[in-house]
Amino acid sequence: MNRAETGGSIERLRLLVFSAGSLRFAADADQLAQLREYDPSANQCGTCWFHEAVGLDGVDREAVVRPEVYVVRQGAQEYGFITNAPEDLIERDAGSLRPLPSLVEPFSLVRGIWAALPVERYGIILLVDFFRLAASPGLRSGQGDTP
Amino acid sequence: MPHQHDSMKSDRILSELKLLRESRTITDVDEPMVTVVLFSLDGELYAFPGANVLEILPVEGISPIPGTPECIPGLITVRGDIESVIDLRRVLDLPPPADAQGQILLATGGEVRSGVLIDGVEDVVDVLRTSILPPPRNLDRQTREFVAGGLERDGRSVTLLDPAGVFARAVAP
Amino acid sequence: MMIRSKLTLLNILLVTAAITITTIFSLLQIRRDAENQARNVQESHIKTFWELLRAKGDAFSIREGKLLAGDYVINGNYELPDKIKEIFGGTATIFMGDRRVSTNVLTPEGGRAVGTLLEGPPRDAMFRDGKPYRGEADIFGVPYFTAYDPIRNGRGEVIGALYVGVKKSDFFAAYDRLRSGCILIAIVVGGFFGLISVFLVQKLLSPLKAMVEKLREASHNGREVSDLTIRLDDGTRDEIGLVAGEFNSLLEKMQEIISLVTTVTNSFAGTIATAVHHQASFTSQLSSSVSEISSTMEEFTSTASQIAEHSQGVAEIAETTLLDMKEGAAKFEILAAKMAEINSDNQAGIREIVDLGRKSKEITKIMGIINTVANQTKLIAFNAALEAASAGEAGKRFGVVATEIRRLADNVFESTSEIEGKINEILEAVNRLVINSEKSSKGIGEGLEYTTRTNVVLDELVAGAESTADAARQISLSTQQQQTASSQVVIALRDIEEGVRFNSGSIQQTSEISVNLTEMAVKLGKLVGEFSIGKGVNLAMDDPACAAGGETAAQ
Repeated sequence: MNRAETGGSIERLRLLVFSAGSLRFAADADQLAQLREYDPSANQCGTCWFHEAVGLDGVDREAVVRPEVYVVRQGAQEYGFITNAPEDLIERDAGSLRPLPSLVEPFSLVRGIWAALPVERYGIILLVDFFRLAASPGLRSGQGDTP
Repeated sequence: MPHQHDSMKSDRILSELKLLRESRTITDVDEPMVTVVLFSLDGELYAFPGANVLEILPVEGISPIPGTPECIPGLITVRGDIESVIDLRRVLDLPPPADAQGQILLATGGEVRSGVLIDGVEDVVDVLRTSILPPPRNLDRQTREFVAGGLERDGRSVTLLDPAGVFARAVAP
Repeated sequence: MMIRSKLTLLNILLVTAAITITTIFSLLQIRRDAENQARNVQESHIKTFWELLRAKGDAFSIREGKLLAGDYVINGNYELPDKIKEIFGGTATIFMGDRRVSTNVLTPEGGRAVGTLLEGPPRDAMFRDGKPYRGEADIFGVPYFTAYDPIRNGRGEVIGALYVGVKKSDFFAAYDRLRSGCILIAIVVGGFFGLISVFLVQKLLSPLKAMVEKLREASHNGREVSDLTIRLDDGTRDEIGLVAGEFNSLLEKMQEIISLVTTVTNSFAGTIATAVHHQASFTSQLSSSVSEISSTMEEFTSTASQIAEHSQGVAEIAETTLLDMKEGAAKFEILAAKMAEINSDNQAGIREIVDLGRKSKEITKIMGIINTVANQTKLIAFNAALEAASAGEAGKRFGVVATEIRRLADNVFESTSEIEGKINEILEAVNRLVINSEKSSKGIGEGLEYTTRTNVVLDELVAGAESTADAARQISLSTQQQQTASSQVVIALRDIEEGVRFNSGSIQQTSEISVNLTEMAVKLGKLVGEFSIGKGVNLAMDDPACAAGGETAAQ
């Protein structure tokens, strides 16, 4: 509460909410370059499955019922993450976000998860930074295997 | 004879009670009390120092988070804030509980704050600081990191844990 | 014996006799000659023996137990007998007294047969009569012609004997051969002529044989009936042919007569006997039937009156039963209604119990909520205690309150667990009740079902009892009518029986007469039945009329 009150320069964030496995994630809508239908026949370079990249255990590719590709661009580099289509687009003050507890932060940041947002409707939504995720060591080594 | 005996008995009890009161006063002065939170885990009694426990919470949905060690099952919200949860059974290498019920102690240790999942709080009591024994010498070094000492409670032995040590153990590789 | 055989035998006998007599005569003659010849030979032998002996010594005497011819000792000296054997063959012996002292006869063992005594006719002839003996004798089983001469001393006393013997077979060998030849020839000749005579007799008598066979065949030939249809062969122009012709004409006449008699006998015997027999048997059957019916009817009448009595009783009982049944059925209906009532009460009871159970469970739920609240309260108390500890001295009083709240919560736990225990007991009791009620409900249901079924059965029983009563009444009526009718029938039957008895008497008389007639007819039938008159007509014997007649006679 204190944090929300502190500055008038607090940003508003538009968040795309989507689910993977039993968890809900949200990504900054501004980060996305494109959102497109997933076409299994097309050979898409630099594209990977989101739940695999973020390290969610016990989730199958078949469990992704409405796969879409979340495309981000970093300079000339383009990455695609395949997961369920967005469920919601919500707007929040950056102040309403909570940093991750110090015990889990070191493990989560490397997976691109940088904050949490308690929402009455959904419980805890994990905020994912696709740029961080693209740079994560696990993803770099597994990139060759991705479709 | 009986009358004499009776008056002697009341005198004796009264004097004992007075002695007791005096001793308590002395105790209050000379031996400071420590609050400890007694809790059960897999049928054994453990304790956290009361100063390290902020709050006792019921378990109302732990939200998992990817990438964390197994002994950290996820996150909880505590009045709008997000807190991590450590499964103390996993930390102590105990088998999973028979029923999922339990309670969470919101504890602090050093700079770290986290919820600790236990079977249930037994009591919050004040004990004499002197009644706390040092940890047994035969403990291995890993265990010694998070065991602060031991005490007796109603004839049962209680292991006093150090929250900071527990947190360090939880995230240790 | 057949004439043929007789003739043949006679012929053979005559031939055999002629030949035998001839043969015997010639053989006797030959034998006599042979015997004469043998006697002559014997004489010459014994004469020679004498010559030889006398050449040794003329005077015969016995000295010192030895027979001497002059000085020639004969005892143990076999010279002379051996010489006789050398000259003539045959046997020769010298006796001293009647003891053999020198001989050429050998014992079967090979020694000389000396020392034995002479016995039999030769001894008698010589030593008693003083005469020589001629005759036949067996020497060691072989027949010999023998000749004994007495040896006399100077005083003319017989002191010994000479003997020579010739084997009979030496003389009769030729005779035996001749005899065998004669017998053989006689047999051959006799046989030959016998055969010829057989053949001739056969030939002569063959027509007669044919006639005999035919007649035998006709008369018997394994049957009981003589066949009159046969005819003899009268082709031969001799006496046999004539006899056959005469016999044939006789047969013809006889056939005519027999067939006439047969026809008459058949019709006569058959008709009367059958008719009378039938009538008689019918009448006796009728008589016995009527008396049977009569007695049956009497029995029937008495039975009917018994039935009438019984059926009256049955009707009354049936009436009573019907009333009882109706009463029973009515009572049973009341019972069924009660059962149904009990059933609905029981069902309501079960519903109540189940409801009680459900409510108890709801209370358990509420207890759970209370427990949760107590838990939360306890948690709050713990947290208050923590707060009080951190508030230092100021928080001490607050800490006491927190402790009290905790104790309250614990009390609540105790109470709720106690209540839970009670509710569990209630639930168990409810379960037991429900199970028992269901059991009794099932029992009541079964009872209801049985009641319904029993009701149906009772209704059927009532209907049955009604029809039984009706039937019994009907039977009672019917049997009374029947009783009347049957006594009338009995009276009528008695009349009939009387009539039949009378009829039976007259038939008996007729029957007796007809039996006599039938007997006569049967006799005649038997007589003519022994002849067959052609066309396979078999006479009388197995005609039913005959059998009937016999039976009637037997009656």
